[in-house]
Amino acid sequence: MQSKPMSSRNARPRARLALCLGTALLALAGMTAAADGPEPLSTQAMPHCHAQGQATALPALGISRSVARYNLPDLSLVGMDGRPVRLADELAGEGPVLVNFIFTSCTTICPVSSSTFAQVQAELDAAGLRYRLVSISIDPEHDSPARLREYADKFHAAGHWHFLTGEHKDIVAVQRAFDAYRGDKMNHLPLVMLRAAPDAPWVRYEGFVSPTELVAEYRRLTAPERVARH
Amino acid sequence: MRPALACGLLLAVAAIGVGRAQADPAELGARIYRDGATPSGLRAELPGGISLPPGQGACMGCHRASGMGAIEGRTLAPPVTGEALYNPGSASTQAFGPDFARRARRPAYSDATLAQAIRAGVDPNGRSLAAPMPRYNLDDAEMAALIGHLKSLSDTAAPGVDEREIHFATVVTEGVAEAQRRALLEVLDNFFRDRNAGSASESRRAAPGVWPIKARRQWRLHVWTLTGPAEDWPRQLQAYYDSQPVFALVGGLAAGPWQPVHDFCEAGRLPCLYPSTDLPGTGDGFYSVYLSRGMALEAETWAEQRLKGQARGPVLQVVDGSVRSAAAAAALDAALRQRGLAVPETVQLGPDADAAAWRRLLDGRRDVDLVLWSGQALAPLREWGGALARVTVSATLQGGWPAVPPELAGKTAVIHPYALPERKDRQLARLHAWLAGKGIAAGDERIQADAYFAAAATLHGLMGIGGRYSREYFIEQIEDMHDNAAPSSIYPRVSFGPGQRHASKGAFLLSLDADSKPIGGGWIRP
Repeated sequence: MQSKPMSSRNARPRARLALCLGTALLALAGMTAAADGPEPLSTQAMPHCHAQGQATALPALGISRSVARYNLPDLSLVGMDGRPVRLADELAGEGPVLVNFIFTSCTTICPVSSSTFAQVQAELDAAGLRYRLVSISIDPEHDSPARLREYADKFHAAGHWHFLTGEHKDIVAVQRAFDAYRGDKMNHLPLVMLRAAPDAPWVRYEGFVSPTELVAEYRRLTAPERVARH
Repeated sequence: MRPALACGLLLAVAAIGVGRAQADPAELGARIYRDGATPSGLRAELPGGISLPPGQGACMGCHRASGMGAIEGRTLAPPVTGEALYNPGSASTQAFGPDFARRARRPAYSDATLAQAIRAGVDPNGRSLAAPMPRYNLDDAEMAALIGHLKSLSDTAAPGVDEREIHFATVVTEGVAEAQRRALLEVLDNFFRDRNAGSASESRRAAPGVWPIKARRQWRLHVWTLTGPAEDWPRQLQAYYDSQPVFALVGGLAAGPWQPVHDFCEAGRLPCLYPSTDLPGTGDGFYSVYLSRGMALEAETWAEQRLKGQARGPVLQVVDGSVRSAAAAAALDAALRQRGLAVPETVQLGPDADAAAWRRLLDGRRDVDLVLWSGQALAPLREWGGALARVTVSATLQGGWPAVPPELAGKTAVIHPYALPERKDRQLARLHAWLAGKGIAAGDERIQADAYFAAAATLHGLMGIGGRYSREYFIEQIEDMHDNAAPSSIYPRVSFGPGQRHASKGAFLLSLDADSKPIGGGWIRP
């Protein structure tokens, strides 16, 4: 909603090519190119990248990995306690952040996505690492704060894993900004976005990425040499 | 099977299941499928070291009650009915990627290869199943029970359907005003007539050797009129059903709670779509689908706002002796108690309470947060502005938007579970054009809109099941349908998801000025 479409004028071929390469190493190169760019890269260019990422990254598992910057709208969602929270604050807290989209009555992909986050939570906690997990409901009419609390309990979500709901239009805006809006919640994709820090680009996984891979990605993103470059 | 008989059997089976789950393979198989649970503790594990929480790995989550499977995004849960599994897989679609297409071409499962798939995630070709399919630690008896259940899924066409016709019924009870009954039936009759007119040419084209298509079935609508006390409705419903089984109930109107019809539908596994009711059935249900939770929702909306809003004086609710009013008051008691708030004082005043009656009630009180569960006009309350912190009315019970006396400007609030007037008119523009085209006079707008919505949902559901007349599969189409669709409905937003049974989830609670215009408040989802 807030993101600008990438026009041919500001589409920088070098950055886009680099971004579209799917291996971890090359994607990191792409991340640097994007971070250097004067224009924030829009989300509209990403589907093109996903196709390539899917082909090159982990084809057997149907998982694609890409790197992107998203123009996130400045708006407030609603937390599990029913209070408004600024999206930017939720994402910019201490430590890297991992974001996914769920809804509590989703019985197909969400139990897997949420179990994946539960496992990531356990592994990062065990390693004493700082992180935030943010699960945003895409069914805000149904998912009241109370329903989110109940759902969070099912997956043993602890203090660093937040579930958010909100106004329908805001939820749609957030999905659009992350290029995750598919019009209908039954079209929703298994998707995880990671960001090492508020000024870093997002790493985007589509498909059923394993907790092991997410933790490995976390470690790559927070490795000392990467941090030093920022 | 007769619904009442089926009900009895189900209850009997369930009762046995609780005590001696192992003794009844049918119940054990159904339970594993539905709840993802076994007496010894079922584990559902994914490759990659993920263990799903208890119940989250239930087969039904992905493959649904019908066993017909589901699609979410690019994730496909294939059908797991006996018919699908024990025949070779031959899907050639590339829509889900080459990997899916490769997996879809497989020999028929046997009991042994199916057990291997469920335990180890390996298909008869030796390929591993797609990522989100868990592996389950079932023992031999549990596996046999589950496989037995899979073989039973959607294995027979539902009653109410033959080669030429699909039968539906709509329920109208005694005590419903004639104009309301007419509003419902005019819409349904015309919708069905349109549908059947469209089918006639299809059916001619389907004559042997003309086009390779099947004739469309004609839709038949039966009106089941219930009379006498509600205790006798189940018997009457059963008698109607026995004389002509129907595939589903569409729309409906009851003077009083819908619960007896709800219970009949659940017991008989009969889909029941969108009756116009403020008193929908409650309790566990799969087959009954509603537009809204009615009076209970209105009461909870108010309680939620009371909890979140600034503290006010004592709550006083006034009821008028009607069933809807009593239901709202009882729901408000429960909703306030659930939120840790004091249960309000409840007083009955007839709908025609005069100034003297209000004086007796309000004289000497201060700061009262009054909830008026009746159609009573606000005018007699005008002199009590000093005693009231606020007076809230229900647009449903008022029969429309309230008129606010100047003395109560800013102190009056309305609970309005429907789209606000301007937006509602836009949402219903197509409906009104359709009604005009049919020569149907504008009548009770809500009943007309609800009936049209129910009929359109029926059409959508039937198109979705594509000739496979499983009632569970039909309900699953409804669950998956209304998300962000512009509804031809009086509700501002209708959406569903698996297991959700009420399309609209909230209500407006708005404070009004002297022109009855909203000056504060908003949409609340309690």
